[in-house]
Amino acid sequence: MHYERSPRLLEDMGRPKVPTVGASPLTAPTCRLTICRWFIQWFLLTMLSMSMASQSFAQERLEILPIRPFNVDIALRQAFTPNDREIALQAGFTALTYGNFEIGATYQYFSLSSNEVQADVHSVYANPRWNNFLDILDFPTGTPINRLLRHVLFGPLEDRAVPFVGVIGGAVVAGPGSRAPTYLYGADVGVRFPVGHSIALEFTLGYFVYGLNFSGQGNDERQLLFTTGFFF
Amino acid sequence: MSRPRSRTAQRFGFLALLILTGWLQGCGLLIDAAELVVPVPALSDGVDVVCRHRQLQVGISVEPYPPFVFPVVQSPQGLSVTGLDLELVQHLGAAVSTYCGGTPIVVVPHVVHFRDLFRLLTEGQLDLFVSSVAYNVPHMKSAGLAYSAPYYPASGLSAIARRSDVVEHVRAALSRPAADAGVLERRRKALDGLIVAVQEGRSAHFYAAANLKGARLLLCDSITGAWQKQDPEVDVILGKEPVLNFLLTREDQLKDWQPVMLEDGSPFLLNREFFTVVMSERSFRLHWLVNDLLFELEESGRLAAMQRRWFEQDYRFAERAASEGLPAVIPPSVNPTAPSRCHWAQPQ
Repeated sequence: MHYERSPRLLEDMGRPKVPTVGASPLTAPTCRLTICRWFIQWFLLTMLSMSMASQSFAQERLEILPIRPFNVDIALRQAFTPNDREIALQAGFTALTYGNFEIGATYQYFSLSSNEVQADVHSVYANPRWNNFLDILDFPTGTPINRLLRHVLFGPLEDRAVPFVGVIGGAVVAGPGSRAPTYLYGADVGVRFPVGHSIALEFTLGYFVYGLNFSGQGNDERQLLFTTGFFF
Repeated sequence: MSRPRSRTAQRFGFLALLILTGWLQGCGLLIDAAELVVPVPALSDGVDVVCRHRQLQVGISVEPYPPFVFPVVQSPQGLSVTGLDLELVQHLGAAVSTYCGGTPIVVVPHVVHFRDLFRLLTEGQLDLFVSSVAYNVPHMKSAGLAYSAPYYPASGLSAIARRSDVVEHVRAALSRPAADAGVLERRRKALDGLIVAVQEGRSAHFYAAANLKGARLLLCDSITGAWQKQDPEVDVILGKEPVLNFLLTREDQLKDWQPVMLEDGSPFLLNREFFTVVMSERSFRLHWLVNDLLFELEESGRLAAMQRRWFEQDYRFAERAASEGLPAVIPPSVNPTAPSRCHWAQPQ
């Protein structure tokens, strides 16, 4: 697993450390409005992806809490000059499947420790996904776009890849500053390669927006997170 | 003074953590330890899901393989599909129902592309697939799946030809003495220079791509597309012997075609194939159930009776589809009525 710091985070890390206790610059109604707006967008995206997923394969099974596939991702980084450390941990399981539609539930821990920034962020989020979304491009008849894309992207594994897009929505349960609990949202795209015997290799690129920043001063910390690992 | 010491301790702690992480490949011991406290639950088997949902999701090929799978027909009840394989899965549905404690199990046939088989089975969208699939064909598309015991006597890939001069050409090539070539090599070489049509993505395609280097290989969506191909005309269609023989006797459009036979009248076979039911690798219990059922059907003579019923009796498949067929589920991405297309294989 690899975290790529957003420009905002790098910018914050260069600043002198400031006290994190204080009133939020956002008033409570504004914050509620932002969360409400975001939840509406998230809900609409979820419904859209669910309807598209269910169209792609009729008479699907609805599996609630199948748990599998589940995953644990760990990333560690320790620098010594200057002393700087990052720890990231993600653990997730499948909460619901319906044909090509799938919802994962994930706990994410991100710890950043340097001379300037001390942040421990605990988050939980849901990740509704639309698997095999490329198959909606099953036209024109002669050379379907989905077959072309599969071949270009996955080569000899074109019939064994499960590409997906998803949205991310949840909450930062604890973090620096006084904003937590606050929202967390984003989106992800990736591909799963079922290997066999309930093991799959998965590559995911996720974009996360947190309702706080890691210095504890503002909001909307953003991160790109690329994970690769096995799902069981 | 205490600050550097603290940092040293921190670094040693981190190093220890790294070493411990390096030992994680031995986490099987952790699972052993956890099992001493609470047994780690076994993988959910496909048949448990079938019992819970009371539906057996069966995949069948969008390309028909008469009499194993006939084309989907529009019946008064809706889209319907029938064939030997469909009768077999109805027996299987009954066997799974018994396993599930008498819970009625509905068999739901999904018409799918063969190329999507691995994904649909592995992702749990299908429980099994039947469409005269041969398990003993070495190819990447065959890997990672589980295959039942065979449900049809050993057959193989054979050929039919449009014209008698093609049959004679093959026979003449076979009669030429070739000291350094075995029987199989001579049969393969007998097809050199001919336009050989196969169904893309199935065993005949894999076989031809691997072994028929001298033939001009034409890949078609279906066998129907192969015999309808006009420009240029196909010399030989390579396919599953029982399917080709059945089509030659029942299909009006094939009345000019004839089987390629050896001098002694035996079929021109290129390999042995055993048709099986395909499942996900992890569906162990379902695998046992299918194998047990096939054994029971074979021992009781019912499997042979089923084969006679579909191969030897005179019937119209549309009528059977209406009377005993199963309602077919066709995903939007699958069009069974789409015209079949052919294209040349890339030279290797």
